[in-house]
Amino acid sequence: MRVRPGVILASSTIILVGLITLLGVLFGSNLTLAQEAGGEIVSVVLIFLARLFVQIATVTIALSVVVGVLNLLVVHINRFYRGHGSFLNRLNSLVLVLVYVLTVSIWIIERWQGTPATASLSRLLLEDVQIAIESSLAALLFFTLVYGAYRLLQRQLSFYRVLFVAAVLVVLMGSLALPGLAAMAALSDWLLSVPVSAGARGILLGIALATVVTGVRVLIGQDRSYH
Amino acid sequence: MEGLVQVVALLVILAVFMLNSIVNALTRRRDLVQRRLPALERLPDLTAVSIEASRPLHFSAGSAAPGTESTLLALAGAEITYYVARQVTLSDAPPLLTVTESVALPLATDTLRLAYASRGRLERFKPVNVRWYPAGERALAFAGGLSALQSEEKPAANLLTGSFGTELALILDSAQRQGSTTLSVSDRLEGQAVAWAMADQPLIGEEVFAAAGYLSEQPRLARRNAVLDAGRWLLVAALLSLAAVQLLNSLTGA
Repeated sequence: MRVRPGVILASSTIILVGLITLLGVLFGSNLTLAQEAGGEIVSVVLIFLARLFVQIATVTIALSVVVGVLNLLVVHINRFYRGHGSFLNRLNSLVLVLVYVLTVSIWIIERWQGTPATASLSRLLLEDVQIAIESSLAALLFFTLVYGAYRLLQRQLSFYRVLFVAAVLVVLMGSLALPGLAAMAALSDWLLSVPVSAGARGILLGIALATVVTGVRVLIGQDRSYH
Repeated sequence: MEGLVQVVALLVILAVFMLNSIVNALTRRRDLVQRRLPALERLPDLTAVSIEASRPLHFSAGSAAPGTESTLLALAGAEITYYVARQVTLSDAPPLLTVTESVALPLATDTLRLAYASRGRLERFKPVNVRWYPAGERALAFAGGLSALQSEEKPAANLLTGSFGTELALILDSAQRQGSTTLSVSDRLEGQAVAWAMADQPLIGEEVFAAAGYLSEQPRLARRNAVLDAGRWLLVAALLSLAAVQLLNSLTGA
């Protein structure tokens, strides 16, 4: 078997940093427990290193927005110049880049001039354009979900699909404040508090278990991802 | 209370470590038979359609990203992307990867690069096929971006394996209108419900972590699935035992 030094170095770094951070986070807020577990100097160094690694990760995450913005611009400039896709796609890319440059320019000028937040054009662009568009998408989401429920039965009829749609209908009808629907409301409450709650916990427990298993295997070097 | 949480966390990690060691020891010299996951059985067809129709495969991890609570989910999604994307590196339409967390961009780019490198086609790798769609409130801007991508790029299939909310409905609806097959799973309950109801091939919960074992045919990943299955049965047994004890207590008390 060929052993690559790069892989060994990467795996050792992951294992070392992961274990130090895990122990530091577990014992970080309880210095007495940490001191009992590993002696005073060892525990203080462990906690210091764990906090340092977490801080490095936080700073990296914050800086990654710059990488994201560069990616966005490169993808759209590339699409506009190289002529990928239809004319409309290229126009979309051009508009995106122009609006980005315009918004950043407005923000810089406003900062330069000390424009108050109430009269800020960049704030207006965010709150009155971006949020308004997102709200309209949220409204559209409702119809999409209803259409999705309709399509669910149209595609392939099965017991679980019928059960799913029936449960949705019961919960929707149960939330209506109409006379004569008290039984439906009680059924809806029972559905939400017993089977729905149990199912949700089951899914979350499954995900948590898989996360811990994968995490432990990464920490002990058994899963080196696909490298 | 805080000390108790730490002790429980440590015990859980140790228990999983022991379980992992036991399952590894028991299955070391065996060929493992993994349980069926119907959603993954159609993946070879999807890669074939992508190559034949010159339509890209689209992968998205949603808001799953390294450095956050969903770090391991992001890694699981990257594993799926790697094993599927390497099958379509020949295609005229290169695979597309989208993320909404900028911190996930390096992981996504490296995943795609490694997929090409594994087939010796690194010259075909283009970083612009990894795209960042910024998330606004409720991630609807991301959903809007991916809906537009469906009509612009016309992917043959969408593999949405990561962290999504109800906005997943908009993406799935747009994909299905374009005749694109969808495989979807989310670690968030509302996203998981939408995925089950609307995706052509839904995965459920932790199945996203098991997918790499099926796609890679690597014994170590199959063993991870065996550990997961054993852990799930132990968890079920523990929950049923606790429920039985509580029932007995209440009956005795009555």
